[in-house]
Amino acid sequence: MHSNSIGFRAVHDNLSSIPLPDSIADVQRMKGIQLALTAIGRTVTGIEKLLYQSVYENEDRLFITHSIKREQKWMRKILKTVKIKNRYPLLGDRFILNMASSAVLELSLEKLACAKISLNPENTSLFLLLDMLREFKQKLQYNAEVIYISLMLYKSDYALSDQKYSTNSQKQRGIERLVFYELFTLVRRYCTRLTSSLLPADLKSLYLRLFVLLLKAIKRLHTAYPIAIPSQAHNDLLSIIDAVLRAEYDQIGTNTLYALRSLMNKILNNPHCLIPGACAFG
Amino acid sequence: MEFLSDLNEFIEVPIPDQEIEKNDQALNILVDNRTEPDNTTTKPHFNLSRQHFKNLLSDLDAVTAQLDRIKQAAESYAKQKNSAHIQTVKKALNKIQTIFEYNIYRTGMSGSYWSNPLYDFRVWAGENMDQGERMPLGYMDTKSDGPDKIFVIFQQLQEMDITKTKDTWESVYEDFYALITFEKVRINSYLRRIDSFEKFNTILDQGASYYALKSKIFDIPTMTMQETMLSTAVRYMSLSIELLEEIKSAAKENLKALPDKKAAEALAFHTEQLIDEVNRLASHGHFNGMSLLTGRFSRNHEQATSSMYILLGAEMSESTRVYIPTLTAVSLVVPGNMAQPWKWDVYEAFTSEQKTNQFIAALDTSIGKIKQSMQNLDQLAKKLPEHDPYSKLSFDSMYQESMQYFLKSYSLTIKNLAYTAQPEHSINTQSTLVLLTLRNAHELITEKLINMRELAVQACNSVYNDQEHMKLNDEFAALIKSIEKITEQTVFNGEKILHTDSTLSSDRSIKLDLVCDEDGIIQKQLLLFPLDPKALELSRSNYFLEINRVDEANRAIGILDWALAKVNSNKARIGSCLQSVFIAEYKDSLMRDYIKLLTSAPKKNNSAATYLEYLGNLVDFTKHVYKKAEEYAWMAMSGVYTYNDREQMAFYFSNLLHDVQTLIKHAQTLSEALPQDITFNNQQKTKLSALVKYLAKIGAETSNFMEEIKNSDFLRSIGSARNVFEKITWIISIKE
Repeated sequence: MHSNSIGFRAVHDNLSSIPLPDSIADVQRMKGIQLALTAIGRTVTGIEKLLYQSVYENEDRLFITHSIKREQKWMRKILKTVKIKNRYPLLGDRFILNMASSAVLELSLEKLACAKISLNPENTSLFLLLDMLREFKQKLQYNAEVIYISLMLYKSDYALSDQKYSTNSQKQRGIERLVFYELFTLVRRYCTRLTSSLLPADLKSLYLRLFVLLLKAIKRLHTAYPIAIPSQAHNDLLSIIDAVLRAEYDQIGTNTLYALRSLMNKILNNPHCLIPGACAFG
Repeated sequence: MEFLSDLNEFIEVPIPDQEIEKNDQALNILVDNRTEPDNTTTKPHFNLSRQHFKNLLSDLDAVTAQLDRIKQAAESYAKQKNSAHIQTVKKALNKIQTIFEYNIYRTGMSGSYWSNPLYDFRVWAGENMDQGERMPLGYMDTKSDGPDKIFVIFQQLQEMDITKTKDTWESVYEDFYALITFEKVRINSYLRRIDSFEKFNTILDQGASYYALKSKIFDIPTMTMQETMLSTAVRYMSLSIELLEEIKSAAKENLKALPDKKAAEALAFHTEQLIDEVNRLASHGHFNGMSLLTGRFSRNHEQATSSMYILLGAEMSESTRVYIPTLTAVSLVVPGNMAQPWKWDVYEAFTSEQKTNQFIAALDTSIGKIKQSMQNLDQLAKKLPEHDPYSKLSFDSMYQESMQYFLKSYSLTIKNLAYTAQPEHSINTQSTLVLLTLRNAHELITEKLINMRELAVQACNSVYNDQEHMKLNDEFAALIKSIEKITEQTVFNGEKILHTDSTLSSDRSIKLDLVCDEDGIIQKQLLLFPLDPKALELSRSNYFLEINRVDEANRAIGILDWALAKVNSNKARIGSCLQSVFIAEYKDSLMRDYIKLLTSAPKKNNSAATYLEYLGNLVDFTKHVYKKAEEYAWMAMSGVYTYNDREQMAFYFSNLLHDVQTLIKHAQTLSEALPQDITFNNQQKTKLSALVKYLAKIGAETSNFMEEIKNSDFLRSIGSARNVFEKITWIISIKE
């Protein structure tokens, strides 16, 4: 990876948990960030595709240049919308987890939006640019994903702590089931993604960190709102989560992930397991 | 709950209905009816060849005119002794030489002898490589590079002296005249042949569009395939009858012209060409890559009829054998009383009246026989039902519903940042994205390869000159580059998934691990041939495949056929993987429905019923997948499919069986890990135990069955397909 991703990792290491929004207003703001990230990501993807096209002789250069300019115009427009007092608070937010790198990202995006891109196929900087764009895309996606998880955890937290209904009521149980069903589904998806051969190695380590943070948050929620799953599965779950949390990032092996996934299958394939109340906990 | 749903709505980006519809359409196109490029067409080239022969004919007419002038001048000289006639003869001879040198042999300079151009004219006749046809003209010995006979005699003719007596030059003159006349007869019969080529090709095209892209073959109903096969055979037969009638009229003409030996020889030549045409029709007339008219389906070599199995309904008993007669010349033209039919010779047959009459009688019998079998085939075609007994649509429409959920996440992922699926979407979004990306790339590459093949086939002709060849070659190279481009741009997560350079590629294949369902239990390993030009052997480091010359173009056709085979094999793998993804998606959707029921109406009394319903749905779905597998076995029982088709069917089939096995195991684990807090009443208990028993039985049968077919050539022949079909029908008939 390129040098500007080092800051990314450094900040990330210091972070112990996924920050949650404080209020509905915060949620709104994060939603805004998510939209902005998606929109910018789309323009970056658009430019990337056009640059790929320009590598070949028989393409219409003039048309490509024009299209790139159009994409850049869109990008400037989006950046302008989210710009407040010469900064991009929406992009450089604490939710993005990587303040240092987001400053770099902002700068680079601004540069990209205004850059004159030359379309000479012999130009090696074109390929460097393509590399950079791919990295942008990955970062933007990663940030969007962090926000998604943050919102998801917030949603779960809110739903569980709302106590709109009495503690043992059917409705409250239904909510709890749904919340944990969704969270466990997310964990299962992460297990599958992290074991997939289609995930590049550099992205994998990044997502592994996010995964560990997610597990931490789930453990926290789980302790606060214990749900009854069969005691054996429950013990397995806690021990695997503990094992994952104890291990160094690089040591989380594929086998652990598989074990976690099969455990999730055991729980999720039998949704009756997610019944609150009766079962004993440690 | 209300707040939760509000929040949900707030967090999920709503998709406008239009967008979903659009994606729906896109998926429909991807899954069902993608229009394929037309099959190769040969029309421009036929016209070119025809023009070539017409030019030759007019040149030879001019030569004959000059020869007439020479004869006239010589006769006048004999009477008047006018020296102007000597000049006329010289001029005429010079003119003939010019015509030959510049128009016909194109040697371009006087003095060098004439060889080749009249000779060695190649015409491409059809779909396959071995159908490159030669139309020899001239009289050159094939083994030597010597001069044409026309040249040798023309040199003798040039020495003619009309001042001497007629005997000195007349024989040479007559010889030369006869040569030219005969050449004209040949050219006329070649022109006739091109017409028949064209007719043949239209018949071929009508049947050939079905197998041009083999991976689409399963989308065509078997009944349609069979009907097309029958009608193609009938068309071939009627063309054959047309040829036989023409042969008959030539023979009748021979009866009139018989005392004249030269006329008889010319007629014999014409007939020989027509008989060759009959043979060519027999050997080239094919459907779906099988030759129909050579008695290939006969059980032993003594039996001259050929037969194949045709399906008339869903049951095994509802199939019949169809006989297509052998239409080779030996079986049609040669009189029946010949002891050694391969020694029969048309030149000999045309020498006497008796032999010609025998010949005509043989033709009449053959025509009658062919007409009879044409009638039979027509009747059989009428018996075929309009639709397949297995409705492909019912299975697919089942997917369509479950795919609605997938479509939502699909459009979101496409719209989002990168290709990689984000965690909010179901896990098979990623697999489907990879597969659809691959599928699109494959469709594009197939199109390019077929275009290239078309060009190479065109370049196989001597009709084109060097510049035209170069133009063809330029286009060819551009297509190779575009294939390179497609493989470079088929990128997923920054990984080129169709290129040899990819880190996923090893040992000349690309390995993709795909997880199809949320549980991660339906997993597929997709092995693909890389398709970049280097891997397809279309280019090396500094070299592109070329079609600058006829032999290069011939070689290119072979390489392209190989490349197309690779692409088709890939397509079959991708198709069967997509099928697994659909199955997985349906399985997940059942689970989602179950969860929805549990959360929306969490009444304890109902939970046992809900649980049983879910389990029952899962078992029903298993039967559906089995039904689909049965369909493949049924298709394989029809004779219209080739070995390669059956191979692909077997691939789809075994994949489906694997999925069925996974589904059964999944249902079994579900029924084993019964939730403790659900109470079943007696009726429910019996139902549950029946389901469990059924699962155990069908699971055991499935694994037995898979063990049985593991190392056998199942579905590869009609016999084994029948066995498999029988077995699978039996498994489906097992009752709960």
